[in-house]
Amino acid sequence: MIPVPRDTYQAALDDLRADVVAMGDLVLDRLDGALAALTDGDAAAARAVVDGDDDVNERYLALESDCLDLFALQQPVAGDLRFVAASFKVLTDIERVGDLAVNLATYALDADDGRVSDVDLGGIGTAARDLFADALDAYAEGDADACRRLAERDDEVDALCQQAGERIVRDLVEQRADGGDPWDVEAVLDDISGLLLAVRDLERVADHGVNVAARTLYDVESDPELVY
Amino acid sequence: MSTVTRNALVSTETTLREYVSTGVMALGAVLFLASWAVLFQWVGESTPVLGVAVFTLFGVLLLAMAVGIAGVGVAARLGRVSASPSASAGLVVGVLFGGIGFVTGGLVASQTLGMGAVGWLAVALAVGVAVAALAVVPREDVGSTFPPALFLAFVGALLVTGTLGLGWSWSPDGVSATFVGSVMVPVLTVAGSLVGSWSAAKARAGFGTQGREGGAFYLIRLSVFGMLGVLALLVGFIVKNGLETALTRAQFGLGGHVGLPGSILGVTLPNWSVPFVDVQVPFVTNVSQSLFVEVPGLAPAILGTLWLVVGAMLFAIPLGLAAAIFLAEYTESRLFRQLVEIATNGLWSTPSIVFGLFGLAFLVPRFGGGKSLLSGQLVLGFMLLPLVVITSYESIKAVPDEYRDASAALGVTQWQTIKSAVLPAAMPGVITGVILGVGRIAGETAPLLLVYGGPPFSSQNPSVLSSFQFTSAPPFVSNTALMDAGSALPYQLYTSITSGRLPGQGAPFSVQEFGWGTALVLLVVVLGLYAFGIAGRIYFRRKLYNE
Amino acid sequence: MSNADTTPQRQDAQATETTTGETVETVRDEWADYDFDGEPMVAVEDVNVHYGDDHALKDVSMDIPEESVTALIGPSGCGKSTFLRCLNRMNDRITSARIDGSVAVDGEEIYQDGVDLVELRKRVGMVFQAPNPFPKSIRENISYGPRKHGDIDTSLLSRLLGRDDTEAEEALVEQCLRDAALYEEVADRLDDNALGLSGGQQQRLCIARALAVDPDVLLMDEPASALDPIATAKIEDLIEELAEDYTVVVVTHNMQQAARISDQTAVFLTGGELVEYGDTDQIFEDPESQRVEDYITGKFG
Repeated sequence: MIPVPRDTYQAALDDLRADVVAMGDLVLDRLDGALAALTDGDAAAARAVVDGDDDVNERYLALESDCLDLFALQQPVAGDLRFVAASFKVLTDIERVGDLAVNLATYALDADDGRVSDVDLGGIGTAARDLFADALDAYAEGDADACRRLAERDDEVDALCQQAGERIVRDLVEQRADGGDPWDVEAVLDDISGLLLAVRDLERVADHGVNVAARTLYDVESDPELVY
Repeated sequence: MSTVTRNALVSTETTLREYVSTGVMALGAVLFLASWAVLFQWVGESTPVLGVAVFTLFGVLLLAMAVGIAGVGVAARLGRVSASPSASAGLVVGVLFGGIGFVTGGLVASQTLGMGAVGWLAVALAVGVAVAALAVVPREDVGSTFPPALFLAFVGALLVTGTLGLGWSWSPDGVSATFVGSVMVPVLTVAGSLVGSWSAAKARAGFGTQGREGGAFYLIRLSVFGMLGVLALLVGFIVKNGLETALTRAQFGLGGHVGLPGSILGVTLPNWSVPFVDVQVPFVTNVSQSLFVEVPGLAPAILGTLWLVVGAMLFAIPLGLAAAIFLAEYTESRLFRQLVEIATNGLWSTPSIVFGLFGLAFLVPRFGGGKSLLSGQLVLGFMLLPLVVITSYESIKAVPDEYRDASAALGVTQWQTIKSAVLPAAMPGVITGVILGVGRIAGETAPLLLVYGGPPFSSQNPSVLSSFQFTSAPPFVSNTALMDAGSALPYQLYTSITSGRLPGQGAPFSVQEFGWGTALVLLVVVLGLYAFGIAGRIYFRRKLYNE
Repeated sequence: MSNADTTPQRQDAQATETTTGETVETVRDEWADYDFDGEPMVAVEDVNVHYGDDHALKDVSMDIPEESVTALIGPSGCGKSTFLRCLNRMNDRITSARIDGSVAVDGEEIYQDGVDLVELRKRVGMVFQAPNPFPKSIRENISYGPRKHGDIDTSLLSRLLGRDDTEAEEALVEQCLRDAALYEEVADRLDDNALGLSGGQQQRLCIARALAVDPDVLLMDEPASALDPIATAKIEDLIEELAEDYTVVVVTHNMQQAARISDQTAVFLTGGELVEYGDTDQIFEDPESQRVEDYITGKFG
């Protein structure tokens, strides 16, 4: 086989893609751990997520530096340029999802069992997590059609989150209306805010997934339609 | 890499080797010069030098050289001095010294020992092979020092013991020459000093590849000095013999004038003059033969040479340049260019007498049947033409194409490009060609004998400028001076030698001295023309390159 | 391709099987179409150039807008210099060259009978790869063109007749040197030999020399390839400035340079074909042709 010119450069591009995918997988693991903590009360998993945040941040910095090196040293143009620029942005989204996983894990640790609402965090979580995972797959494969389909699924996740939010508030109001023991205001407030924040964070996970898909679509087809 | 040998990076003890080798080379130079001095009889061979006969001294010095070279070789072989010798001295050295050994052995065997043909051949072969083996088989530091040392020691011993000396002579059978000691000794010394110095030069540079370089540079320097020496010899000879004659009755003072010539083209010029140094050199300014002249002079010959050169240049330069421009810039056909190249090379190599014959057969009848300056100018012009064509063509070709491209891209026509961009850049080369050509034709005698040469000692100067006259019939201008026969410097030299005596009585020198004086003046005139040309070339170079 | 499994292929590349079984891209004509307002300064249509049997340029058509910088890029031997030399008929000087097709400069066809080559080359000037000033003074270099065309006459006769152009010459020399961003550096040594200048200065002198004949179009064949980075930067700045008044066409093998200085870029690929021609930012961010993408990202060529 004829050796391709600039093979160091080509290898660097391939490595970047692989590294980004690997970081995405790592963050998905964290997300899964956080969801397990939320739904099953697995405290150990939650603690692992929190402790592992440094690892994610270090990887983020290293990969960001790799992108800058490629810009400065190799001057990528055309498709390669779009790929490196897209990867640069995708990294940010992945790192944010890692932070969101830590938030969820923290909430899982702080919450106690007497929840005000039994909203199905697990369902929302799975939907958001799957959307994000599919976005990463689309990035890895360069699949433009998958990117477009993902944008639609985000609407569903948004709807789920909206419903969850309303449900929480309704549950709260109904509890109050039921009478019963006077509340511990502090505890209830913590519980509610934690729940609402968790729902919001899950919605954000899905949004980041859409961002990843948007950047991938721009990389592959030079089409910025999904980038709002 | 196993094929690469590593020598020491920093050499330790070299100064001894260098000193001894340099000493040997110095001795070799002394012997070389001294031998030539003896051959030229500048030093008599029986004169004692330092209380010793000259040839014995040669022998002693040769022996010293032998010891020096052998010493360096031994010291290098034993590692006392550091060098970087190759594994073997090489085939050239082997063949050279083998040959020397062969000849020496053969001569000794046949002459001294009186062996018959088979005998001396066997001895010669044996000696030759032995010496060649000595040169080639051991390491280079031994192989390139021992054979020359042996040869030098042998010759030195012969000289010191007196076996080969003044009284020696040899007349071999079958050869009618006799080799005399007073000639053979210096010759052998020259050969020995050359061989010894060359080997010492190699030793000085440390043998090996550097040694070969040292040896080669030594030989090159020798050639250069030899060439310069020959040149100095020739010039010195001429100057020595001709200077006194040329300055006969010369005067240098401060009370003179310089003014305009009397008339040009028939127009009388005013009598202006400016004070100047008073230089009188009658040998240069007098005519060769006249009642009013005591010192026969060369003015007619000098003026004749100058007019010939000027006329030839006026003919050859425009034609030659035009031809060169056509060849370089306008023709596309390679065949045509090759044809012209062959023709000009052939013309340039034609002997000058052939040009003279052509002039005699073709020009002379058309110019009134007699010899004339114009015929001489044309014949010399024909001779100058091919050189001007060749050198101008090469110079024009050498002008880089970038200039032509740049000029064309500005929309400049080809002719203007040639005139303004190419020719000025080619000028130095063209002038070089003209200088070379003028140097040749200024000294040509044979064609002038046939078409121009007049009386052996001329009594009038050719006055070309003042002889232009207007005539009523075409071509409306005539010039009698151009149609006269005359004299030129090399021609004058020839006639003075062949006529055997000077005209008139009472000349202050003999006809041979007159000849030497003519030769000196010819040299000066040619050098003057060169200086002119070189000045022109420097001017153009400065304009081109701001140097 | 070795990285076919990890890098997504362009999804709109056309592929055709050739007889040898290799996939080769078919070039679409619209890739070389480039729309802009106004009339083109140089309009090239279906130009083919043969050097003997060698088909150096194949059916090249492109329109070059005025007062802008057009870059021609491509691998070695792809015909970009040949194309450039067609625009001022310098290919005529090569005896084995045969040129077919049409080139119109400012609306006038230049490959027809009756074209005055002198006038053409005044209007379409050229600067070469290696600086080639004449071995004359700086002043003489710049006034060379106008002098040979008879526009400047400082001979004895003209002085006698009172039509001496010395002042005009001085003004022209100064103006051209300023336009070429060289005046400050050489103002005090206009009579010095041009060969004493540095490489970058010599190249700017050649540009000034070309400007002296008042061209409309400036052709530059790799003008900075023989120069060091600082001199190159000065030439690039100069090119951008010149584009305000002249139509500049630059051949370069340095793609970053083409990206930096040009408004539109034409990509020639091996075999003498023009594959794509468009806005520079479009070519360097999202080219239509897969081969062009491969060339500019360095995957071949």
